[in-house]
Amino acid sequence: MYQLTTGDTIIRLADNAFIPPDPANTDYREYLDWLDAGNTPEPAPPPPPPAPDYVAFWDALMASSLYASIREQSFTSLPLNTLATEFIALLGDAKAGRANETAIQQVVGAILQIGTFTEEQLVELGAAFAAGNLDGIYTLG
Amino acid sequence: MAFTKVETAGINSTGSLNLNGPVLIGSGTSTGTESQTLQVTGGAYVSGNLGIGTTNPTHKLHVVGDARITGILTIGTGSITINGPTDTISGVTTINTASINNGPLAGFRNAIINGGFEIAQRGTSISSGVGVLTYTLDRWIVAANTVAVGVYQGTQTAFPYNHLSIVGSSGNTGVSIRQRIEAKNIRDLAGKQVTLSFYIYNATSNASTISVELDRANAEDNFSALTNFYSASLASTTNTDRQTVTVTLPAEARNGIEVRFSAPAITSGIFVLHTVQLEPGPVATPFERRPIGTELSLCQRYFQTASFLDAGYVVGGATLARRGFFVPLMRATPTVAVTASSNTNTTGAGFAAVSSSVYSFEAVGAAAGGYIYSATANFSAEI
Repeated sequence: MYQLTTGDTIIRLADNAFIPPDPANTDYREYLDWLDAGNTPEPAPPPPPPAPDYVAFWDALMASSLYASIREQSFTSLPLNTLATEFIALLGDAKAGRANETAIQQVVGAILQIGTFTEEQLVELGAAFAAGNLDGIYTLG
Repeated sequence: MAFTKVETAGINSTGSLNLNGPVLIGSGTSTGTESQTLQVTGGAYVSGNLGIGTTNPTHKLHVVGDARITGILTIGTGSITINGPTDTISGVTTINTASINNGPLAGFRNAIINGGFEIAQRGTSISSGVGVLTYTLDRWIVAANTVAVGVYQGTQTAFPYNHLSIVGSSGNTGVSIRQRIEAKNIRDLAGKQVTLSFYIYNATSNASTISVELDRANAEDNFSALTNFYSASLASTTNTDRQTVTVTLPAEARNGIEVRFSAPAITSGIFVLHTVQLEPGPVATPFERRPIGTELSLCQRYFQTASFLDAGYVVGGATLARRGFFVPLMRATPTVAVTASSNTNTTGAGFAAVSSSVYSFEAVGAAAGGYIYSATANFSAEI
């Protein structure tokens, strides 16, 4: 039995060996003979989820009207200003590979609770999360 | 006027002397056959050239036709002697010749790799499996029917080299031991006479005869379809006589050949094969012992193992990759089987073969921080 991969390598399930698609490789030729005999390999396992990209998220956030709104509201709201500062610090750590997901989620929730934002701006935040492959990690609630 | 017999004290003639019967010199009694008409008993001296089979000798002894010497022939001043009874030629410091025994003059006569069973990269104790071709000691395949047998690298001092030892299992109905010779390593011998030599020590209770078979691949280095061109049954006992088979390879042997020893069953006891050699020519010459490092390199064209460890700092999701090189280059891009791996702050530590010369060692960082990952793998480009 064999299993496909997302690349061109074949997995031989008997010993989990990776068989390269080299016509001179005896194992690959045996695989082709196995196919010719009418057999079908198992499908490739689903690819792993994309890795979080906090730089892409940050770039998308800075380009949004949501970011401009947070910045503007921070001039007059000390709590929002404090939360925004904390959020920026957490994002700095996340971009360096040390994401504190729990803390980021809490700060995002607090900012959305204290600040005043439009529906469009909330959509922008969701799009920024998606740009950084973070939409499966963080919510807007 | 004709005399039937003349007895005289001497003959001094300046003309020719014509004799119709045998001439006996030095003895009055003939010791040869009637066809030998000249007999010299004692010494004879010829100052000019002596021709045998020629009327115009150009050397002191000039023989046109075959000559046979049952004693020792001494050439030159005695430095070179050819001694027929002991099959030796001694005193020769230089031989100018194009071939010995129809093959290379020296070195690498043996087309079998690991014929001395010195190399065991997969381990020295391996189960044959059942109904499958299992690589055991390097380059040697063992296949067993019905019940698996144990395959070991034997090092008994009774044999001059290591050996492949099969330990029988109750219920086994057949065992074959094979080596496939790559096209590039046999094509120079296609169409030529070769000699296979080997030793078998059979201390089993039931494999009194074995078969020796030679097949050639129907396509280059593709042994999924074979054509047999030699088959013979040989008695096998506990004697230590060397067995030899001389056969002319077919032209299609340039595709590669399989040498196969088969026993009907090995249910108990020990069956040993050792000192296997396949060489050009009709004569089995002494087993060619190659340096151990050279033999290992020859094996590593088909099978290698590698271990790798890497440590450092990584961020989550980052791919870690290092490159390694196969030495020597492998026959083809190999199949990779990871046999052990460990991950500390990484996932998926393993190898990927890129080509017959390069592999990569890879993992993915789990989170920001220090990491260590390691893996060991087998790379197989066997045929």
